[in-house]
Amino acid sequence: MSVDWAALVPYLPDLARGFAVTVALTFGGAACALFMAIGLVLATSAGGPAIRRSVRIYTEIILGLPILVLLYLIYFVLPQLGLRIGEVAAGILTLTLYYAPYMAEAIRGAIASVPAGQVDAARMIGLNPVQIFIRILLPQTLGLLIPPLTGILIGLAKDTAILSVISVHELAYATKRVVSRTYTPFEVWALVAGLYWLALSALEVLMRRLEGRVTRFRASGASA
Amino acid sequence: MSTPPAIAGRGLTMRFGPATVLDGVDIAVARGEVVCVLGPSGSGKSTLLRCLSFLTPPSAGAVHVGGEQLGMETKSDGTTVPASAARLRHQRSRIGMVFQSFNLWPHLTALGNVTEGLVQVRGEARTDARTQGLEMLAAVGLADKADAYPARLSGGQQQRVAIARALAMKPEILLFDEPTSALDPELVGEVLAVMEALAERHTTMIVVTHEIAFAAEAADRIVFMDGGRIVEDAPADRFFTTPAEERSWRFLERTMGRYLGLSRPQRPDMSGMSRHDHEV
Ligand SMILES: Nc1ncnc2c1ncn2[C@@H]1O[C@H](COP(=O)(O)OP(=O)(O)OP(=O)(O)O)[C@@H](O)[C@H]1O
Ligand SMILES: [Mg+2]
Repeated sequence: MSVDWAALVPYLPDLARGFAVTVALTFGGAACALFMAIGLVLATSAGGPAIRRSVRIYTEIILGLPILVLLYLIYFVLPQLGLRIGEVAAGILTLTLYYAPYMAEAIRGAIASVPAGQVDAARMIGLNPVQIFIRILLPQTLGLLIPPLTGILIGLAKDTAILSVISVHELAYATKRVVSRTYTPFEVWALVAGLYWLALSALEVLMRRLEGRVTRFRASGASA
Repeated sequence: MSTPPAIAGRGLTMRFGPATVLDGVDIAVARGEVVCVLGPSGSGKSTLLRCLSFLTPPSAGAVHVGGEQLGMETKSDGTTVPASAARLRHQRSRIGMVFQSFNLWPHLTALGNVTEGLVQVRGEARTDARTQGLEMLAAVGLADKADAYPARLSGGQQQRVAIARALAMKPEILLFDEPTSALDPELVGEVLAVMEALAERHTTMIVVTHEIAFAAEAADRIVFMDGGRIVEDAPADRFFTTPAEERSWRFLERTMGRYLGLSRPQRPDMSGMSRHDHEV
């Protein structure tokens, strides 16, 4: 088999666009999922028994579903119930609904490491549950939180490729299109695989840097 | 009495499952009064403070702070309904609490711990909060530790920061739950000194403590608890010299060996209870 890299060159802008969409989906999906995860954690820690129950049931359902099935449910079944939704929105919604419980679990685990007395002290000072979460719990658990969140984020980044099945124009979708034009699957997929690998490695390095930054108050002790 | 007590609990009952940990406790503390709560381990002292502050609302009973019932609010039409969470937080801000384990926030400096409530709850400007925070730290003798993180402070210093943190919110009542029990013996004095200064300035305080000497010196009144009930509630001088209850006397007999400045309390006349005539 002869390898023909030159045939790829005209299609690089297509791949670049696909890559940009993948990056946007990753960060958009992660941001939404994180937001929802925080909501889930607050709901279980400050909400009533009915709310807690709903969160638990929802979490159980998600943990038992492949993401592809959730995606199909949202993209093909919701419209039949009268909820029309675009493919990008369906993609982001899927990533959000699917990854929020995992993130919530990571957050809950990290928060559990904070002694309950710190929350008592915060309540006595008058902080509300959101302030307690953001001002007291999150800052001191970020160091514990970043490693599991990095794993989840990378999982989410990889799963954006699944959105190609509903024609979201992300990197995997763009790759399939280019292959169908150039008939050079080896070259295109090898290039794209390298691209995914590079991007995910960069993400991991970035998160590790971040981890170093947020745990500085522990290491440096007294120096402000 | 014309003015309502600074804080009053009526019929406070706390059940955890089948266990009744607090059993119909009545307690009232006047403005400027210092009350020490004594009692054996497990008698419900911490639970009482947590109920009074509504950190864990009691299963039954009511707490009034300056005449206003915690956890309830009166509507304009005069009906009383359960208070919103925000309303309860506001009511609770009239109470300050100091914990056995300090419970400082480790990611904030001493000053950050003290100013957190001023900035986040009271909405004060950072510069104002800083000025007040430094004042509070100076009041507990820690002005020079403003920028230190809790991990770099001794236990005694941490507890003094925690007192400054509570004081910064200008509470009407301070609750202390064994503030010196987690400290090395040589660090107890500096914390008690701060509390004695507060008592001398007639800060309203309820102090759960095993420091009999502190109680004897600083308290106006002693509340002695056992088995989830108040066994005796008496002026401090009378409690330590002539306790009215056999159980108080026994407790004092057991614990006063640690404090030699007090003469031994008189045993109450319990002629009907001669089965207790061992010990002494
Ligand atoms: N959250 C809880 N769930 C179940 N039981 C509890 C709970 N909190 C306290 N108790 C029980 O209530 C009783 C009284 O506890 P409390 O902490 O109020 O005692 P204490 O007088 O403060 O004791 P100590 O001097 O050891 O601090 C104990 O038997 C304890 O086991
Ligand atoms: Mg206790």
